Amino acid sequence: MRSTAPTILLAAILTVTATAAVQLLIEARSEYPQEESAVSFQRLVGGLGFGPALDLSQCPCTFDPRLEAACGLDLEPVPAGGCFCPQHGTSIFYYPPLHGGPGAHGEARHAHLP
Amino acid sequence: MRTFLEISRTGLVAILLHPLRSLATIAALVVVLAPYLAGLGLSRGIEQQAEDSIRFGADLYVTARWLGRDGPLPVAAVEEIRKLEGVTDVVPRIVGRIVLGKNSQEAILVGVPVERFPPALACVEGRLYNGSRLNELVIGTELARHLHLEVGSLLPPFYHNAKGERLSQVVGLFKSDVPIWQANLVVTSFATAAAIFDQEGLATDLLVSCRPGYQDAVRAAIVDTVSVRPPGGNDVLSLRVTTRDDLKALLPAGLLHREGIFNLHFLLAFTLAILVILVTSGFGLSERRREIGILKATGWQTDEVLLRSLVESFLLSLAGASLAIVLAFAWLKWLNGIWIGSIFLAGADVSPSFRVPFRLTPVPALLGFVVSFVVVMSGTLYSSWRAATVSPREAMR
Repeated sequence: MRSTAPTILLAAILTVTATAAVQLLIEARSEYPQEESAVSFQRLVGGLGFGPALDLSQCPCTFDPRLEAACGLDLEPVPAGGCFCPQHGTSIFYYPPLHGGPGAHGEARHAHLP
Repeated sequence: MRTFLEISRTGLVAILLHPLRSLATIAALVVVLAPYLAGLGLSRGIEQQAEDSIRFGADLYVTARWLGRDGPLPVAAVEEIRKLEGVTDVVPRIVGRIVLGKNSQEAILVGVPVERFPPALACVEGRLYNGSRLNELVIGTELARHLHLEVGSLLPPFYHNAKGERLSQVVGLFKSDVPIWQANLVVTSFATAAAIFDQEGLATDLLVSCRPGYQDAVRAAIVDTVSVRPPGGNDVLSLRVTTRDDLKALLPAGLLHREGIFNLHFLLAFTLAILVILVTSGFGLSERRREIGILKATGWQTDEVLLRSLVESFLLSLAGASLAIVLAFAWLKWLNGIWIGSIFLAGADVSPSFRVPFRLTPVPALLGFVVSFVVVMSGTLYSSWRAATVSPREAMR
């Protein structure tokens, strides 16, 4: 007589997989809710907040690039210099500097060695 | 087909033969994948809130340039910009960093003309203003929790102003379902914010609304024709204008670009996980060699042994990836990103006082499964192949 343990194990794995798949499908098909509170907040503050920081203590650019176009702790062109900012270093939501960062739009660029 | 199914069934049995090894492999996968998926889900949630921030914000943001950096500009520029063709409204705004309380709690003070809004708003519990002589503040959820504030609380003067300081009163709290950036916010009237910073007549930026199709023309006109002088100075300040399209262009376009360095960190975590899983799923497992030796001695072919191992790896990685997805979802949805929210959202508490935004999408989940399958398979399949290609006597020894 065959053991039922493998069948039970397969059923358990398939149940977990089906749960995960259904969850992902529901998430993928659902529309992002446009809540009135979120709309009224953004209208009140005139559009504020963009990145994963919740205060201005270290990197205002990570809070909102409208307040500071580029990260002040970005040490590039030092190799990996962009990682020195503690908020950029673990950022889950990376975006480049606004306006291409310092020196864009014809402003004085940093000096470069020949 | 029947033979194939029978061999596949032995793959299931193989998982049960070494339950501890199977559990360790699944646990290693879950430990690596669940935070990765939670981070990706949070990233997508923030992106959607950032889209709202762009959509319901102003058409143009005007700031001055001081010594190569963005800086405040005189409020007098409001009238100059308002005269431009295509401009429908110009609103000055103050945004600045302050610290409150004995523990120097970080906060962001935002001064906007709150009088333009009705006293009651959907995002605020309490009200916005009442024309009181006190400084009336609406504060964020994290700030309220840290400073033990509620509607009606009074704050002693926390700033210095040459004309004198006033008491401040909390008249409203942001609701927890409002975007995450409210957490440490203090919103007040423009005049109150100017008094708190003791910098009358200046604004951090001007929010310009335009008629449809006029954005580029207004932007060019502001940069080329508007001349703004700093208070007490004669030099003309250069202005920087940020459009809605500039901000949209910052939104990450693809999965690989979205998380940047976050992906790099998890690549390192995966690299470590590979070593762990290689050890737990095959290398050095003498039982596996003996087991395969017996199978070969009873007439199994090498390809059948490999198929058995493939099914075993597939089911282990499927179980690990699926559990990671379910756990990541439960972590973000029902536990509101407890602990992981504070890791990825700088300035949030271990247990965030606001609703953590997230959205789990199929592509990262599928990617996670593929990576885990490759990792587990390389461990199991290699050791199986090594054992299956030697003589049964050698394998069983």
